[in-house]
Amino acid sequence: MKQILVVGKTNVGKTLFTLNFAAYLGMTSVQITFRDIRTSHSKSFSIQEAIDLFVSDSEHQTKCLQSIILALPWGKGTKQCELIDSTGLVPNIHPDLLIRQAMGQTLTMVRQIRHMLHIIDGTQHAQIDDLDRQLANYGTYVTSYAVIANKWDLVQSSHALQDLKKAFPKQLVIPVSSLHKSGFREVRTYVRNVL
Amino acid sequence: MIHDDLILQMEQGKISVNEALAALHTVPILKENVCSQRQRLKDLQHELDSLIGLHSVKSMIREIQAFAQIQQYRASLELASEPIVLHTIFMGNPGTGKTTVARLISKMLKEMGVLLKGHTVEVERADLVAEYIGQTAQKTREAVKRAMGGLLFIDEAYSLARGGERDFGKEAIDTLVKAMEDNRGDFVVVLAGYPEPMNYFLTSNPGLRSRFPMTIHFPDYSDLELFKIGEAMFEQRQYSLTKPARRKMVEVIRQLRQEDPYNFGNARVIRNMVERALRLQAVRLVAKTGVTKEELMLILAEDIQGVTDS
Ligand SMILES: Nc1nc2c(ncn2[C@@H]2O[C@H](COP(=O)(O)OP(=O)(O)OP(=O)(O)O)[C@@H](O)[C@H]2O)c(=O)[nH]1
Ligand SMILES: [Mg+2]
Repeated sequence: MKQILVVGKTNVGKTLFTLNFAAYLGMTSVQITFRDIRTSHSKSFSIQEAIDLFVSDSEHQTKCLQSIILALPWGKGTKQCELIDSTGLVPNIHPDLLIRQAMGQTLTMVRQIRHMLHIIDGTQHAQIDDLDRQLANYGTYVTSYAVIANKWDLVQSSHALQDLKKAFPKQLVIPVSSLHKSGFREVRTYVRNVL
Repeated sequence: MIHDDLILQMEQGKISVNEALAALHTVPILKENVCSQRQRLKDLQHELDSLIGLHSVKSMIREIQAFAQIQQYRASLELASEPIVLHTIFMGNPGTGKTTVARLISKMLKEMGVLLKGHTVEVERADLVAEYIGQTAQKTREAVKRAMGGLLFIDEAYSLARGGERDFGKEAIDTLVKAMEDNRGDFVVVLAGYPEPMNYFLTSNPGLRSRFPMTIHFPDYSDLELFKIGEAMFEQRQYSLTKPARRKMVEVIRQLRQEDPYNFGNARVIRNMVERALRLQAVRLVAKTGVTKEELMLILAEDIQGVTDS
Protein backbone atom coordinates (compact mmCIF):
# COMPACT_ATOMS: atom_id res chain seq x y z
CA MET A 1 0.00 0.00 0.00
CA LYS A 2 1.23 3.51 -0.79
CA GLN A 3 2.16 5.59 2.21
CA ILE A 4 1.84 9.35 2.49
CA LEU A 5 3.57 11.15 5.34
CA VAL A 6 1.97 14.21 6.91
CA VAL A 7 4.81 16.28 8.27
CA GLY A 8 5.40 19.79 9.52
CA LYS A 9 6.06 21.96 12.52
CA THR A 10 4.15 21.41 15.70
CA ASN A 11 0.64 22.81 16.04
CA VAL A 12 0.14 23.63 12.36
CA GLY A 13 -2.85 21.31 12.22
CA LYS A 14 -1.46 17.99 10.94
CA THR A 15 -3.75 15.87 13.03
CA LEU A 16 -6.89 17.83 12.26
CA PHE A 17 -5.96 17.79 8.59
CA THR A 18 -5.49 14.01 8.63
CA LEU A 19 -8.76 13.31 10.39
CA ASN A 20 -10.92 15.83 8.56
CA PHE A 21 -9.53 14.76 5.21
CA ALA A 22 -10.73 11.26 6.05
CA ALA A 23 -14.10 12.75 6.95
CA TYR A 24 -14.12 14.65 3.65
CA LEU A 25 -13.65 11.34 1.84
CA GLY A 26 -16.84 10.16 3.52
CA MET A 27 -15.34 8.15 6.35
CA THR A 28 -17.09 8.41 9.69
CA SER A 29 -14.67 6.36 11.76
CA VAL A 30 -10.98 5.63 11.56
CA GLN A 31 -8.73 2.85 12.75
CA ILE A 32 -5.66 4.65 14.10
CA THR A 33 -2.39 2.76 14.37
CA PHE A 34 0.01 4.27 16.88
CA ARG A 35 3.62 3.43 16.21
CA ASP A 36 6.35 4.56 18.55
CA ILE A 37 9.95 3.44 18.59
CA ARG A 38 9.28 0.08 20.18
CA THR A 39 5.64 -0.80 19.90
CA SER A 40 2.54 -0.33 17.87
CA HIS A 41 -1.11 -0.74 18.62
CA SER A 42 -4.29 0.31 16.92
CA LYS A 43 -7.73 1.35 17.96
CA SER A 44 -10.77 2.62 16.15
CA PHE A 45 -12.53 5.89 16.84
CA SER A 46 -15.31 7.90 15.37
CA ILE A 47 -13.74 10.87 13.64
CA GLN A 48 -15.28 13.28 16.13
CA GLU A 49 -13.90 11.24 19.03
CA ALA A 50 -10.46 11.25 17.45
CA ILE A 51 -10.57 15.00 16.93
CA ASP A 52 -11.55 15.55 20.54
CA LEU A 53 -8.76 13.32 21.74
CA PHE A 54 -5.87 14.12 19.43
CA VAL A 55 -6.30 17.66 18.17
CA SER A 56 -5.26 20.32 20.59
CA ASP A 57 -3.96 23.82 20.88
CA SER A 58 -0.97 22.68 22.92
CA GLU A 59 2.26 21.81 21.17
CA HIS A 60 3.31 18.21 20.66
CA GLN A 61 -0.08 16.72 21.10
CA THR A 62 1.03 14.00 18.70
CA LYS A 63 4.00 12.04 20.05
CA CYS A 64 4.35 9.12 17.71
CA LEU A 65 3.36 8.09 14.22
CA GLN A 66 -0.41 7.82 13.95
CA SER A 67 -1.60 6.37 10.72
CA ILE A 68 -4.98 5.76 9.21
CA ILE A 69 -6.05 3.91 6.11
CA LEU A 70 -7.87 6.03 3.56
CA ALA A 71 -10.26 4.49 1.11
CA LEU A 72 -10.76 6.38 -2.14
CA PRO A 73 -13.40 5.52 -4.68
CA TRP A 74 -11.64 3.95 -7.64
CA GLY A 75 -13.43 2.64 -10.68
CA LYS A 76 -16.15 0.41 -9.36
CA GLY A 77 -14.42 -0.23 -6.07
CA THR A 78 -12.07 1.63 -3.76
CA LYS A 79 -8.34 1.95 -3.48
CA GLN A 80 -6.48 2.31 -0.19
CA CYS A 81 -3.50 4.23 1.02
CA GLU A 82 -1.97 4.92 4.39
CA LEU A 83 -1.90 8.49 5.66
CA ILE A 84 0.70 8.88 8.40
CA ASP A 85 0.40 11.75 10.86
CA SER A 86 3.67 12.48 12.64
CA THR A 87 5.15 14.26 15.62
CA GLY A 88 5.53 17.94 14.86
CA LEU A 89 9.00 19.39 14.50
CA VAL A 90 10.54 22.35 16.25
CA PRO A 91 13.61 24.13 14.86
CA ASN A 92 15.65 24.27 18.05
CA ILE A 93 16.82 21.63 20.52
CA HIS A 94 13.76 20.49 22.43
CA PRO A 95 14.36 20.03 26.19
CA ASP A 96 12.26 16.86 26.44
CA LEU A 97 14.03 13.65 25.49
CA LEU A 98 10.79 11.86 24.61
CA ILE A 99 9.80 14.61 22.22
CA ARG A 100 13.24 14.57 20.65
CA GLN A 101 12.99 10.83 20.14
CA ALA A 102 9.54 11.24 18.64
CA MET A 103 10.90 13.89 16.29
CA GLY A 104 13.70 11.49 15.43
CA GLN A 105 11.03 9.05 14.37
CA THR A 106 9.53 11.72 12.12
CA LEU A 107 12.94 12.46 10.57
CA THR A 108 13.56 8.78 9.95
CA MET A 109 10.23 8.65 8.20
CA VAL A 110 11.11 11.74 6.16
CA ARG A 111 14.18 9.87 4.96
CA GLN A 112 12.20 6.84 3.87
CA ILE A 113 8.92 8.07 2.60
CA ARG A 114 8.11 8.53 -1.08
CA HIS A 115 5.06 10.73 -0.74
CA MET A 116 5.02 13.69 1.54
CA LEU A 117 2.42 16.29 2.49
CA HIS A 118 4.12 19.16 4.20
CA ILE A 119 1.68 21.09 6.36
CA ILE A 120 2.41 24.70 7.18
CA ASP A 121 0.42 27.30 9.05
CA GLY A 122 -0.98 29.46 6.26
CA THR A 123 -1.21 32.48 8.50
CA GLN A 124 2.60 32.47 8.58
CA HIS A 125 2.81 32.99 4.81
CA ALA A 126 5.05 36.02 5.17
CA GLN A 127 7.63 34.32 7.40
CA ILE A 128 8.61 30.92 6.06
CA ASP A 129 11.46 29.75 8.27
CA ASP A 130 14.45 27.49 7.78
CA LEU A 131 12.79 24.35 9.00
CA ASP A 132 10.01 24.63 6.44
CA ARG A 133 12.52 25.48 3.76
CA GLN A 134 14.57 22.41 4.66
CA LEU A 135 11.50 20.20 4.51
CA ALA A 136 10.57 21.68 1.15
CA ASN A 137 14.07 20.85 -0.01
CA TYR A 138 13.37 17.24 0.82
CA GLY A 139 10.34 17.59 -1.35
CA THR A 140 12.64 17.65 -4.36
CA TYR A 141 13.91 14.18 -3.51
CA VAL A 142 10.66 12.36 -2.97
CA THR A 143 8.35 11.02 -5.63
CA SER A 144 5.51 13.36 -4.79
CA TYR A 145 5.24 16.31 -2.52
CA ALA A 146 2.90 19.19 -1.81
CA VAL A 147 2.81 22.08 0.62
CA ILE A 148 -0.52 22.26 2.43
CA ALA A 149 -1.11 25.81 3.66
CA ASN A 150 -3.50 25.14 6.53
CA LYS A 151 -5.69 27.42 8.62
CA TRP A 152 -6.55 29.33 5.45
CA ASP A 153 -9.80 30.41 7.13
CA LEU A 154 -7.69 32.68 9.32
CA VAL A 155 -5.67 34.20 6.51
CA GLN A 156 -6.47 37.86 5.96
CA SER A 157 -4.00 39.04 3.39
CA SER A 158 -4.95 38.95 -0.28
CA HIS A 159 -1.43 38.16 -1.47
CA ALA A 160 -0.88 35.28 0.94
CA LEU A 161 -0.94 32.67 -1.80
CA GLN A 162 1.45 34.72 -3.89
CA ASP A 163 3.82 34.87 -0.93
CA LEU A 164 3.74 31.13 -0.60
CA LYS A 165 4.25 30.47 -4.28
CA LYS A 166 7.26 32.70 -4.11
CA ALA A 167 8.58 30.89 -1.04
CA PHE A 168 8.00 27.46 -2.61
CA PRO A 169 8.51 28.17 -6.30
CA LYS A 170 9.06 24.60 -7.38
CA GLN A 171 6.35 23.01 -5.26
CA LEU A 172 2.66 22.47 -5.42
CA VAL A 173 0.98 24.69 -2.80
CA ILE A 174 -2.56 23.87 -1.72
CA PRO A 175 -4.37 26.27 0.64
CA VAL A 176 -6.86 24.48 2.89
CA SER A 177 -8.83 24.93 6.04
CA SER A 178 -8.81 21.67 7.91
CA LEU A 179 -11.35 23.15 10.27
CA HIS A 180 -13.89 23.80 7.53
CA LYS A 181 -12.72 20.98 5.25
CA SER A 182 -12.24 23.47 2.45
CA GLY A 183 -9.61 23.16 -0.26
CA PHE A 184 -9.68 19.38 0.15
CA ARG A 185 -10.71 18.67 -3.40
CA GLU A 186 -7.20 19.48 -4.63
CA VAL A 187 -5.73 17.32 -1.90
CA ARG A 188 -7.88 14.46 -3.09
CA THR A 189 -6.56 14.97 -6.61
CA TYR A 190 -3.03 14.80 -5.22
CA VAL A 191 -3.79 11.55 -3.38
CA ARG A 192 -5.41 10.06 -6.48
CA ASN A 193 -2.27 10.84 -8.43
CA VAL A 194 -0.20 9.05 -5.81
CA LEU A 195 -2.39 5.99 -6.25
CA MET B 1 25.18 4.79 8.85
CA ILE B 2 25.69 8.46 8.71
CA HIS B 3 22.07 9.61 8.57
CA ASP B 4 21.02 7.45 11.52
CA ASP B 5 23.87 9.05 13.36
CA LEU B 6 22.57 12.53 12.73
CA ILE B 7 19.10 11.63 13.91
CA LEU B 8 20.59 10.06 17.00
CA GLN B 9 22.55 13.22 17.71
CA MET B 10 19.33 15.18 17.44
CA GLU B 11 17.61 12.80 19.83
CA GLN B 12 20.48 13.12 22.27
CA GLY B 13 19.99 16.88 22.21
CA LYS B 14 23.37 17.60 20.66
CA ILE B 15 22.01 19.24 17.55
CA SER B 16 18.72 20.86 16.66
CA VAL B 17 16.17 19.49 14.23
CA ASN B 18 17.19 22.23 11.84
CA GLU B 19 20.83 21.25 11.95
CA ALA B 20 19.94 17.61 11.57
CA LEU B 21 17.78 18.35 8.56
CA ALA B 22 20.42 20.53 6.97
CA ALA B 23 23.08 17.88 7.45
CA LEU B 24 20.80 15.05 6.40
CA HIS B 25 20.19 16.99 3.30
CA THR B 26 23.78 16.66 2.24
CA VAL B 27 23.27 12.89 2.34
CA PRO B 28 20.37 12.50 -0.04
CA ILE B 29 19.45 8.86 0.19
CA LEU B 30 15.99 9.34 -1.12
CA LYS B 31 16.42 10.06 -4.75
CA GLU B 32 17.40 6.60 -5.69
CA ASN B 33 19.23 3.62 -4.43
CA VAL B 34 22.15 4.32 -6.70
CA CYS B 35 22.50 7.71 -5.17
CA SER B 36 22.64 6.37 -1.64
CA GLN B 37 25.02 3.65 -2.75
CA ARG B 38 27.37 6.18 -4.21
CA GLN B 39 27.13 8.24 -1.07
CA ARG B 40 27.85 5.27 1.16
CA LEU B 41 30.79 4.36 -0.99
CA LYS B 42 32.07 7.89 -0.63
CA ASP B 43 31.66 7.67 3.13
CA LEU B 44 33.64 4.45 3.23
CA GLN B 45 36.29 5.96 0.98
CA HIS B 46 36.47 8.83 3.39
CA GLU B 47 36.81 6.43 6.29
CA LEU B 48 39.62 4.68 4.49
CA ASP B 49 41.36 7.95 3.72
CA SER B 50 41.12 8.97 7.33
CA LEU B 51 43.15 5.96 8.40
CA ILE B 52 46.62 7.22 9.10
CA GLY B 53 49.43 6.07 6.85
CA LEU B 54 48.70 2.93 4.80
CA HIS B 55 49.41 4.67 1.51
CA SER B 56 50.08 1.51 -0.45
CA VAL B 57 46.86 0.02 0.88
CA LYS B 58 44.87 3.01 -0.21
CA SER B 59 46.18 3.06 -3.72
CA MET B 60 45.64 -0.67 -4.06
CA ILE B 61 42.03 -0.26 -3.05
CA ARG B 62 41.58 2.51 -5.61
CA GLU B 63 42.85 0.07 -8.23
CA ILE B 64 40.46 -2.64 -7.13
CA GLN B 65 37.62 -0.19 -7.18
CA ALA B 66 38.48 1.13 -10.61
CA PHE B 67 38.89 -2.38 -11.95
CA ALA B 68 35.57 -3.55 -10.53
CA GLN B 69 33.79 -0.55 -11.99
CA ILE B 70 35.33 -0.88 -15.43
CA GLN B 71 34.64 -4.59 -15.57
CA GLN B 72 31.02 -4.00 -14.64
CA TYR B 73 30.74 -1.28 -17.23
CA ARG B 74 32.27 -3.54 -19.88
CA ALA B 75 29.87 -6.30 -18.92
CA SER B 76 26.94 -3.89 -19.28
CA LEU B 77 28.07 -3.16 -22.85
CA GLU B 78 28.43 -6.86 -23.45
CA LEU B 79 32.19 -6.66 -23.82
CA ALA B 80 34.21 -9.55 -22.49
CA SER B 81 34.80 -8.85 -18.85
CA GLU B 82 37.54 -10.23 -16.72
CA PRO B 83 36.13 -12.00 -13.65
CA ILE B 84 37.08 -10.06 -10.59
CA VAL B 85 39.31 -12.22 -8.46
CA LEU B 86 39.87 -10.33 -5.28
CA HIS B 87 41.38 -12.91 -2.98
CA THR B 88 44.22 -11.12 -1.31
CA ILE B 89 47.17 -11.64 0.96
CA PHE B 90 47.59 -9.12 3.75
CA MET B 91 51.14 -9.03 5.02
CA GLY B 92 52.01 -7.07 8.07
CA ASN B 93 52.74 -7.11 11.73
CA PRO B 94 49.92 -7.16 14.25
CA GLY B 95 48.31 -3.80 14.87
CA THR B 96 49.04 -2.41 11.43
CA GLY B 97 45.40 -2.11 10.46
CA LYS B 98 44.80 -5.38 8.58
CA THR B 99 41.45 -6.22 10.15
CA THR B 100 40.19 -2.66 9.95
CA VAL B 101 41.04 -2.48 6.28
CA ALA B 102 39.51 -5.90 5.58
CA ARG B 103 36.21 -4.83 7.09
CA LEU B 104 36.22 -1.62 5.11
CA ILE B 105 37.04 -3.36 1.85
CA SER B 106 34.21 -5.80 2.32
CA LYS B 107 31.74 -2.98 2.87
CA MET B 108 33.10 -1.07 -0.11
CA LEU B 109 32.82 -4.10 -2.37
CA LYS B 110 29.20 -4.37 -1.37
CA GLU B 111 28.52 -0.78 -2.35
CA MET B 112 30.32 -1.38 -5.64
CA GLY B 113 27.98 -4.25 -6.29
CA VAL B 114 30.76 -6.85 -6.20
CA LEU B 115 29.69 -8.55 -3.00
CA LEU B 116 26.13 -9.15 -1.89
CA LYS B 117 26.40 -8.54 1.83
CA GLY B 118 29.70 -6.88 2.67
CA HIS B 119 30.28 -8.43 6.05
CA THR B 120 33.53 -9.88 7.36
CA VAL B 121 33.98 -13.24 9.04
CA GLU B 122 37.20 -13.37 11.00
CA VAL B 123 38.62 -16.81 11.62
CA GLU B 124 41.85 -18.43 12.70
CA ARG B 125 43.13 -21.97 12.65
CA ALA B 126 40.90 -23.18 15.48
CA ASP B 127 37.80 -22.10 13.60
CA LEU B 128 38.68 -24.15 10.54
CA VAL B 129 40.54 -27.17 11.81
CA ALA B 130 38.83 -29.84 13.91
CA GLU B 131 40.39 -32.33 16.25
CA TYR B 132 39.06 -35.44 14.60
CA ILE B 133 39.36 -36.84 11.17
CA GLY B 134 36.68 -35.82 8.69
CA GLN B 135 35.41 -32.86 10.70
CA THR B 136 37.76 -30.27 9.38
CA ALA B 137 36.23 -30.09 5.92
CA GLN B 138 32.86 -29.58 7.54
CA LYS B 139 34.15 -26.87 9.84
CA THR B 140 35.84 -25.03 7.00
CA ARG B 141 32.79 -25.28 4.79
CA GLU B 142 30.71 -23.77 7.56
CA ALA B 143 33.07 -20.83 7.89
CA VAL B 144 32.92 -20.33 4.13
CA LYS B 145 29.16 -20.47 4.26
CA ARG B 146 29.03 -17.77 6.89
CA ALA B 147 31.30 -15.62 4.75
CA MET B 148 29.19 -15.97 1.60
CA GLY B 149 28.47 -12.55 0.16
CA GLY B 150 31.26 -11.08 2.26
CA LEU B 151 34.86 -11.53 3.20
CA LEU B 152 36.57 -14.43 4.96
CA PHE B 153 39.51 -13.13 6.91
CA ILE B 154 41.91 -15.86 7.95
CA ASP B 155 44.34 -14.55 10.51
CA GLU B 156 47.77 -16.13 10.76
CA ALA B 157 46.85 -18.28 7.79
CA TYR B 158 50.20 -20.09 7.83
CA SER B 159 49.24 -21.80 11.05
CA LEU B 160 47.10 -24.03 8.83
CA ALA B 161 50.32 -25.63 7.64
CA ARG B 162 51.73 -25.88 11.10
CA GLY B 163 51.45 -29.60 11.66
CA GLY B 164 52.97 -30.75 8.38
CA GLU B 165 51.55 -33.24 5.88
CA ARG B 166 49.47 -35.29 8.29
CA ASP B 167 47.88 -32.36 10.04
CA PHE B 168 44.21 -31.56 9.40
CA GLY B 169 45.26 -28.03 8.47
CA LYS B 170 46.03 -29.40 5.04
CA GLU B 171 42.44 -30.58 4.76
CA ALA B 172 41.25 -27.08 5.66
CA ILE B 173 43.39 -25.56 2.90
CA ASP B 174 42.10 -28.05 0.33
CA THR B 175 38.51 -27.45 1.34
CA LEU B 176 39.03 -23.72 1.17
CA VAL B 177 40.56 -23.92 -2.30
CA LYS B 178 37.69 -26.04 -3.50
CA ALA B 179 35.15 -23.62 -2.05
CA MET B 180 36.93 -20.76 -3.82
CA GLU B 181 36.60 -22.65 -7.11
CA ASP B 182 32.97 -23.55 -6.56
CA ASN B 183 31.84 -20.12 -5.44
CA ARG B 184 33.81 -17.82 -7.65
CA GLY B 185 32.97 -14.21 -7.06
CA ASP B 186 30.58 -14.93 -4.22
CA PHE B 187 33.04 -14.22 -1.46
CA VAL B 188 36.52 -12.89 -0.96
CA VAL B 189 39.25 -14.62 1.00
CA VAL B 190 41.95 -12.68 2.77
CA LEU B 191 44.94 -14.51 4.21
CA ALA B 192 46.62 -12.40 6.81
CA GLY B 193 49.74 -12.63 8.88
CA TYR B 194 53.36 -11.73 9.53
CA PRO B 195 55.38 -11.34 6.32
CA GLU B 196 58.05 -14.03 6.80
CA PRO B 197 55.97 -17.05 7.74
CA MET B 198 53.41 -15.97 5.14
CA ASN B 199 56.01 -15.99 2.38
CA TYR B 200 57.18 -19.39 3.45
CA PHE B 201 53.62 -20.70 3.60
CA LEU B 202 52.83 -19.47 0.10
CA THR B 203 55.97 -20.86 -1.48
CA SER B 204 55.26 -24.24 0.04
CA ASN B 205 51.66 -24.14 -1.25
CA PRO B 206 52.00 -23.00 -4.87
CA GLY B 207 48.38 -23.95 -5.60
CA LEU B 208 47.30 -21.43 -3.04
CA ARG B 209 49.64 -18.71 -4.18
CA SER B 210 48.18 -18.67 -7.69
CA ARG B 211 44.70 -18.11 -6.36
CA PHE B 212 45.64 -14.93 -4.56
CA PRO B 213 46.47 -12.46 -7.28
CA MET B 214 47.03 -9.57 -4.94
CA THR B 215 49.24 -8.89 -1.99
CA ILE B 216 48.92 -5.85 0.19
CA HIS B 217 51.76 -4.93 2.48
CA PHE B 218 50.92 -3.26 5.72
CA PRO B 219 54.06 -1.42 6.69
CA ASP B 220 54.81 -0.72 10.30
CA TYR B 221 53.81 2.77 11.24
CA SER B 222 56.49 5.42 11.28
CA ASP B 223 57.10 7.43 14.44
CA LEU B 224 55.22 10.35 13.02
CA GLU B 225 52.26 8.20 12.01
CA LEU B 226 52.14 6.67 15.44
CA PHE B 227 52.20 10.12 16.95
CA LYS B 228 49.26 11.16 14.76
CA ILE B 229 47.34 8.03 15.69
CA GLY B 230 47.94 8.74 19.36
CA GLU B 231 46.89 12.34 18.99
CA ALA B 232 43.71 11.30 17.22
CA MET B 233 42.97 8.86 20.03
CA PHE B 234 43.27 11.63 22.61
CA GLU B 235 41.04 13.86 20.55
CA GLN B 236 38.41 11.18 20.16
CA ARG B 237 38.28 10.95 23.91
CA GLN B 238 38.03 14.75 24.24
CA TYR B 239 41.48 15.32 25.60
CA SER B 240 44.15 17.55 24.20
CA LEU B 241 47.90 17.68 24.56
CA THR B 242 49.97 20.65 25.64
CA LYS B 243 52.93 21.50 23.45
CA PRO B 244 55.45 19.97 25.85
CA ALA B 245 53.23 16.88 26.05
CA ARG B 246 53.36 16.57 22.28
CA ARG B 247 57.12 16.80 22.30
CA LYS B 248 57.25 14.26 25.08
CA MET B 249 55.05 11.89 23.17
CA VAL B 250 57.31 11.94 20.12
CA GLU B 251 60.25 11.34 22.42
CA VAL B 252 58.55 8.40 24.14
CA ILE B 253 57.60 6.82 20.82
CA ARG B 254 61.23 7.00 19.68
CA GLN B 255 62.44 5.59 22.94
CA LEU B 256 59.99 2.69 22.88
CA ARG B 257 60.91 1.82 19.34
CA GLN B 258 64.58 1.79 20.22
CA GLU B 259 63.94 -0.53 23.10
CA ASP B 260 61.99 -3.03 21.02
CA PRO B 261 62.37 -2.28 17.32
CA TYR B 262 60.95 -5.60 16.17
CA ASN B 263 57.58 -5.45 17.88
CA PHE B 264 57.02 -1.80 18.23
CA GLY B 265 55.52 -0.40 15.07
CA ASN B 266 51.86 -0.88 15.82
CA ALA B 267 48.83 1.00 16.93
CA ARG B 268 48.09 -1.23 19.86
CA VAL B 269 51.13 -0.01 21.73
CA ILE B 270 49.89 3.52 21.15
CA ARG B 271 46.42 2.72 22.43
CA ASN B 272 47.90 1.33 25.63
CA MET B 273 50.04 4.38 25.92
CA VAL B 274 47.10 6.73 25.50
CA GLU B 275 45.02 4.88 28.02
CA ARG B 276 47.83 4.81 30.54
CA ALA B 277 48.31 8.56 30.10
CA LEU B 278 44.63 9.14 30.83
CA ARG B 279 44.92 7.18 34.05
CA LEU B 280 48.03 9.09 35.05
CA GLN B 281 46.27 12.37 34.38
CA ALA B 282 43.43 11.19 36.60
CA VAL B 283 45.83 10.31 39.39
CA ARG B 284 47.38 13.75 39.09
CA LEU B 285 44.01 15.53 39.20
CA VAL B 286 42.23 13.49 41.81
CA ALA B 287 44.55 14.81 44.50
CA LYS B 288 43.70 18.37 43.55
CA THR B 289 40.73 20.48 44.63
CA GLY B 290 38.76 22.74 42.31
CA VAL B 291 39.72 21.10 39.05
CA THR B 292 38.58 23.11 36.01
CA LYS B 293 37.02 21.79 32.84
CA GLU B 294 40.15 22.81 30.99
CA GLU B 295 42.34 20.82 33.32
CA LEU B 296 40.11 17.80 32.85
CA MET B 297 40.81 17.96 29.15
CA LEU B 298 44.50 18.67 29.23
CA ILE B 299 47.27 16.08 29.08
CA LEU B 300 50.62 17.34 30.35
CA ALA B 301 54.11 16.18 29.52
CA GLU B 302 54.39 14.47 32.90
CA ASP B 303 51.35 12.30 32.11
CA ILE B 304 53.09 11.13 28.98
CA GLN B 305 56.44 10.73 30.67
CA GLY B 306 54.85 8.38 33.20
CA VAL B 307 53.78 5.82 30.64
CA THR B 308 57.29 4.46 30.29
CA ASP B 309 57.49 3.62 33.98
CA SER B 310 56.29 0.19 34.73
N1 LIG C 1 -8.78 28.01 12.45
C1 LIG C 1 -8.20 26.83 12.18
N2 LIG C 1 -7.63 26.15 13.19
C2 LIG C 1 -7.05 24.97 12.89
C3 LIG C 1 -7.01 24.46 11.58
N3 LIG C 1 -6.36 23.27 11.60
C4 LIG C 1 -5.99 23.05 12.89
N4 LIG C 1 -6.38 24.07 13.67
C5 LIG C 1 -6.15 24.21 15.11
O1 LIG C 1 -4.78 24.21 15.36
C6 LIG C 1 -4.46 23.54 16.58
C7 LIG C 1 -3.47 22.43 16.33
O2 LIG C 1 -4.02 21.39 15.57
P1 LIG C 1 -3.44 19.92 15.56
O3 LIG C 1 -4.12 19.19 14.48
O4 LIG C 1 -3.45 19.33 16.91
O5 LIG C 1 -1.95 20.26 15.15
P2 LIG C 1 -0.73 19.26 14.96
O6 LIG C 1 0.08 19.80 13.84
O7 LIG C 1 -1.19 17.89 14.84
O8 LIG C 1 0.06 19.53 16.31
P3 LIG C 1 1.03 18.54 17.17
O9 LIG C 1 0.60 17.15 16.95
O10 LIG C 1 0.79 18.99 18.57
O11 LIG C 1 2.39 18.83 16.71
C8 LIG C 1 -5.77 23.02 17.11
O12 LIG C 1 -6.25 23.92 18.07
C9 LIG C 1 -6.69 23.02 15.89
O13 LIG C 1 -8.02 23.16 16.23
C10 LIG C 1 -7.64 25.22 10.54
O14 LIG C 1 -7.67 24.87 9.37
N5 LIG C 1 -8.20 26.40 10.91
MG1 LIG D 1 -0.87 16.27 15.96
